[in-house]
Amino acid sequence: MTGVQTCALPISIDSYDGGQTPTLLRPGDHGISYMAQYEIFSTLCSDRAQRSVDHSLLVDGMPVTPERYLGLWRAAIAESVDPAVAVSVHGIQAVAVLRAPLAAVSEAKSSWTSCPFGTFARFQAMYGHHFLYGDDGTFSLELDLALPAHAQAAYYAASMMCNRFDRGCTSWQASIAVRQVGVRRHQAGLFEIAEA
Amino acid sequence: MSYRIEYQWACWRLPAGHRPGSVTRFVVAIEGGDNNLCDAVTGKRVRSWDVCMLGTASQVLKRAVYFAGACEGGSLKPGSRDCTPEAYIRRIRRLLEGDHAAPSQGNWYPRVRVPERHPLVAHAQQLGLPLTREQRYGDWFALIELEVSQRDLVFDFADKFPDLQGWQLAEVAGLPRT
Repeated sequence: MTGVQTCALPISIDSYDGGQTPTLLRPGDHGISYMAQYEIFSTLCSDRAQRSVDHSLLVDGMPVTPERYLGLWRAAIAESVDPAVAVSVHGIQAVAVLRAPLAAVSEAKSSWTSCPFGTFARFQAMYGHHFLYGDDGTFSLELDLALPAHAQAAYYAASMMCNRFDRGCTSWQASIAVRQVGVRRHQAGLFEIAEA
Repeated sequence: MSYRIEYQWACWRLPAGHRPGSVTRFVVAIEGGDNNLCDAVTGKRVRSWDVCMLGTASQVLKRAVYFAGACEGGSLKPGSRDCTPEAYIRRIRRLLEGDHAAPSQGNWYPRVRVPERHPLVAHAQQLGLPLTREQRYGDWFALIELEVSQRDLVFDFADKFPDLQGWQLAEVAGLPRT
């Protein structure tokens, strides 16, 4: 394959009972993946766009057709912003959360030749100042995806952790958390920007 | 990369009946097949008609949205052409909303085939419907026999078990092939 495909973290601002919560389109606790455009649409068509059919999902409180709903996402993808702008403009921070028993991963090697650190030990040497160590031998760290190289580092570190643990195991976590920062009211959705 | 091609679409509209709360139902059949499977004799790409969507307009559209998810990545190509999910959903919506007649030839009929452990089997037994067993590719399935006069039962099944696909509930015959 040639070319570089841009991947994204699709986030919707969900409103329940008057409160607004930034929600990752495809949450998960056991792996960090950024989504290609076709994955975003596949995920939307498996859930949210279907819910727009019977109006159990509304946009700005109004019913929309699934075609329109997908079109709004298409526009939002075209107007997507980098994580730093997401913080400053939308008040949404995305962080990678990694947690696992340190002994189990300390010898891990990356199966990716493109991994910038190659081994978990080297990753620990580069990002050790972010590590928090628990009494039970676990480490945890959060990498702010708005900072340079953190998104890439989180991806490869999570990949090494995935190779060491079963998916069903609860002793480890590699996930992306989206948080509301500051007190600004979110725009009703990235759609508003996309439609402007 | 392999992908599915859809060649033709057919839709039957079944107006609301006399049962309380009944609504118009639809049966959507699609002629389609894989791009990389060819008939050994004719050399043409293999294709078949299957009931792909069945139920109320809402149920059919939801299924269309689900299928449409494969369009963006190129795994589903109506007419062998790239298509957006939005365009695919519009195509199915036009089928439902169009003032078209039912296909001039061919018909659909109930044929319920589900894995033997599917809860529909116990439900059918409660209704006293006759069942037969069938082994396909090593797995056992239950065939639920329905008379043509009982064909509306498949819509009750679709309501009660939304995980079931159209082709598990009904089949078509006699539609023209491309």
